[in-house]
Amino acid sequence: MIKNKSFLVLIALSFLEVFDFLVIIGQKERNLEEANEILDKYPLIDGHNDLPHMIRTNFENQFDQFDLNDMKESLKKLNKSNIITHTDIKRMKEGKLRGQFWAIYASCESNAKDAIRRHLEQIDVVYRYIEQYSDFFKLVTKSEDIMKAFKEKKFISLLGLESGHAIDSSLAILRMFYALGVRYMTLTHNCNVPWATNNLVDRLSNASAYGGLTQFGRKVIREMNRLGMMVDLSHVSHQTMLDALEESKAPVIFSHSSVYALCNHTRNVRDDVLLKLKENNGIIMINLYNGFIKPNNEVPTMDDIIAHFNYVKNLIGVDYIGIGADFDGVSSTPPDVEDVSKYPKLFAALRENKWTEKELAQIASQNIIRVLNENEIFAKSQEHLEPIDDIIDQKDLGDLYSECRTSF
Amino acid sequence: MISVESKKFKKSLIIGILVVTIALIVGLSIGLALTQNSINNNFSKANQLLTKFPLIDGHNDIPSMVRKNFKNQFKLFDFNDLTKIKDELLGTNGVTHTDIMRLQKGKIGGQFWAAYASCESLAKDATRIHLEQLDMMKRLINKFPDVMKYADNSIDLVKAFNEGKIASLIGLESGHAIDSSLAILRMFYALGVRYMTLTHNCNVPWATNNLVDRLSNASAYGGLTQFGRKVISEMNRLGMMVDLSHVSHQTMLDALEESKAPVIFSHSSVYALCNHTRNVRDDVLLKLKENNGIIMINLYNGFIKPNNEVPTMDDIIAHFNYVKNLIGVDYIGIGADFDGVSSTPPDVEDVSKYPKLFAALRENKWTEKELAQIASQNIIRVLNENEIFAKSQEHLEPIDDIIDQKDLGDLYSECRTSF
Repeated sequence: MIKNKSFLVLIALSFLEVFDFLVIIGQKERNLEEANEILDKYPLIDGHNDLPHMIRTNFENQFDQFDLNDMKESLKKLNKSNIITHTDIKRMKEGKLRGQFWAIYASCESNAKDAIRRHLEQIDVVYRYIEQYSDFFKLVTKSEDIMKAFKEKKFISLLGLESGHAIDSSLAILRMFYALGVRYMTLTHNCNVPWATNNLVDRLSNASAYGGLTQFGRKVIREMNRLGMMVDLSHVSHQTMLDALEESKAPVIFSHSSVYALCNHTRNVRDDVLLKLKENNGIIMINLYNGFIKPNNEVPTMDDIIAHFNYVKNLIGVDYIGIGADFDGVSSTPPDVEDVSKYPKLFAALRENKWTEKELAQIASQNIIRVLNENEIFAKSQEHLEPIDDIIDQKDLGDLYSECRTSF
Repeated sequence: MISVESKKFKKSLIIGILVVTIALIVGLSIGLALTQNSINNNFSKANQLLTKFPLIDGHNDIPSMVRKNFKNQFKLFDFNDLTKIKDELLGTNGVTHTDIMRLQKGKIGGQFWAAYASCESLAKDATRIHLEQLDMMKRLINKFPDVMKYADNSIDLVKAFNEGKIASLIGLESGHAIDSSLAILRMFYALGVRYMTLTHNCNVPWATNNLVDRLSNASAYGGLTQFGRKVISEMNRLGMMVDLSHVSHQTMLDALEESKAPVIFSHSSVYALCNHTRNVRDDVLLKLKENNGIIMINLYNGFIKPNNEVPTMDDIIAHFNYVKNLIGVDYIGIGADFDGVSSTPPDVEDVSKYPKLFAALRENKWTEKELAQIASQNIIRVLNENEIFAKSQEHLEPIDDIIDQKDLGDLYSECRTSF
């Protein structure tokens, strides 16, 4: 008798388990469906993708060497299948990515040397793939054109400059980059510029000795505000973050940074800064690089990723969050969101975590559109002002700059 | 004894002399008056012409002057009238040639402003300085919106003139600005540059400059390299005019051979009249005619008259006449090089004096049609033909070839971190 009962209970439990399992799968499918629906309704605009740099590194910017529709195939043709690629048109479509700030990047090696040239060459790369695949891409430089492009079913392409060494300490060069369509500038990469410090100084015991923005650095912020170019604080030092948030009269961004409290990498953003970001009405666009999501070289799960979004939402609210995955700019990405085709999975997971459609629409793009738009509005209010034509103090430049510099 | 007849003779002689003297005076006065009238007439006709047709000068170095003297800081100078600050100025013997007051007096209808950086910046910060000069000029144009209007195509150029503004275009001086990168060439085009002078007085890795023509073994240096020819092709594809001022004789020939659109000399004069390596030889002028291009006469003393002699108006006119006689009036313009040179002719010393030049040409029997051509119709034609050619190339891919590292040599290794 007892045996029979146990057996029945066992069967019932198994049945329940299977039932639960099916419910969960069903729920997961529903979440994914809903995520896809949301991403069809609202554009997903990512804050930072290093495809232009990937093209330079692997193809020397030679357009006959690759087909942007399928980069895996392009690398295979060159016997470079081992090279990591996160981004191509095929996977962007799969991932329902509808807009991107393309990173115009040159390494710190070029600092004080050929930084301007290298950054300009990367703008040329983006212009060229927008032109070559003009059925798909559209260059956008104004917030009002974002939804227009979305409705026309074009891929919204904006430009972000990485980083401040590109301007060679010259406000004139900043203006020329703005004229070429650049709409944010990451103040530093992983090296100081003569007017701002980078996150690596935060690893030093005497970090505070290095300071943040210099007087000239504050002029850079002001000129960016005047133009309507968003200030991007990814990569900068903690002090630079604070100084910039103090100086900037328009909302700032973190184009590809995550939460320090969950992963204490100097590239991530601390709570005190997040609180100031809220006052500033800015945005933090979560970076999906393994090393910024989870410390100690651990491989992040989807829950680890979601934790970052939840943390910011709980601390300051959903108005200040976006996504800046840093695809093609990092060596390792979470297995659950490994490349641009996997955004829907991320949104499904957020949905599972009770994020509403409204909230998902915000982090997908409404927040970043708001920030860009506010920068434009502020710039318009400054139209009557003269451009700042101050020159950086020669003593701020130091020896590093003397070799390749022939004039103020 | 003095006879009555000799007294009469004396009287007649005196009367005769008086009559002749009076006749001479009257004759001279009438003659002078007529000449003055003719000059006044030519001058007023010249002014009328320049009100009707824009005068577009090919090359003015005010951006360089502003950089040298004011570090591009606008609070340090008033562009309305720079004659006030003569003494402290550097670079051009303490003299400036250009400001709004004098531009308006000189009836300038359009100007190619030179975004220039010296050869010192070659292989170093050339790109930065050229960009800063571009920024400075755009700011200057924006600062005086009632007087100047930015233009980057032939239609907007004419529109600006019709609105009573000085159509302001940008020329890049020179090729070292692109740091041997076709991508940078494209970025300068995107920023509004509509001609590029291939070299200044130094070689770039892909083209030689006029100074090599002073050497006995000039031919060993060649002209354009393979990459240099790609630069020309890409300029043609974009619609950026190729400017051959400053380049070597061989580079001129190579560029004229390679370019499928009309080329310009934005500020060069006639070699046959003044054998400076900056000037243009007859063989090149003949090829320029086939090319349908333009030579815009430079008024620098040293390019008008050799041996440090001070040129007269006749010396200047001789250059215009020479080109007209050799190849025709369709290929001539004016690129005075004001604020880029140390000494200018006393008769056309600054931008306010263009009407005098036109009056003198008129006196030399240049017709209104011909004057309209050299004032602007020729350069507008050349710009427009470059635009038309570019449009025909719209389907073509940009050239993304990279310069051969060996063409760069050691000079470039210091400040260059990547292809």
